Amino acid sequence: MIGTAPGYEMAMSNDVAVELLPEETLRAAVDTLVRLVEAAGAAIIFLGAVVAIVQFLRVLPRRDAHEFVRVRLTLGRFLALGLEFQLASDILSTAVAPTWEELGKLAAVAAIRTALNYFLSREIKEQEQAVDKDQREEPSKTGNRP
Amino acid sequence: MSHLLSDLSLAVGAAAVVVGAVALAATRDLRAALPLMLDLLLAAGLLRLAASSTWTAIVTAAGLVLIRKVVTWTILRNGAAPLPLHSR
Repeated sequence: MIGTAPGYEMAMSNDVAVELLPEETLRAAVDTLVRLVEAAGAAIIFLGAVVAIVQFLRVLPRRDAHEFVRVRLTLGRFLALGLEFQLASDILSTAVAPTWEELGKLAAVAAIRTALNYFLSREIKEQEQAVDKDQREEPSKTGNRP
Repeated sequence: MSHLLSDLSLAVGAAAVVVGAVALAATRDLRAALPLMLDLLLAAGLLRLAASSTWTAIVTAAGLVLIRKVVTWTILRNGAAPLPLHSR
């Protein structure tokens, strides 16, 4: 049985890979993907703001401060989702070798987004628990009224 | 794309101020109105952060976003303390 050396096979596959996917093409493809995902994140955040404003206008005639918590919850969920998309685009940006300058900016933005996403998720959870508690207590409160 | 994001950020920021003012006028409750306005301003800040590419812009947007989060968090944590405009 005649075999080929593993090093030779690896060199051949690298040559094919280089020919099939040059760095410029990879860079351009990743850049397009980054822009698309970043735009999706921004669109979700903007959509969340629009939905929250519409919801605010709908609950405004009731003049109930508790309803504003629901509006904030809706907005918070959109913001968290948008931040996830933007973090995904940050991770994609590291796929092609960036410069130290780009890497520094990327790290700063990613750190801000990660921290915000963490606090936002925690706040959403707390607000949801508060809303659930209010809903559970509301029937008993109305039942105690004279 | 950054011009579009900057414009959207500006629009959301302006809407946040209007929503905050209307909410305050409707409920006379600063604890209800201010977090709503700050959350919308946070959305504007995130759009601005997506548009920014220089260090100055990143630091400015990040500072604004963090200040807004801290203020919202402080208002919600100090829920027991009555604020001047709270109707009682």
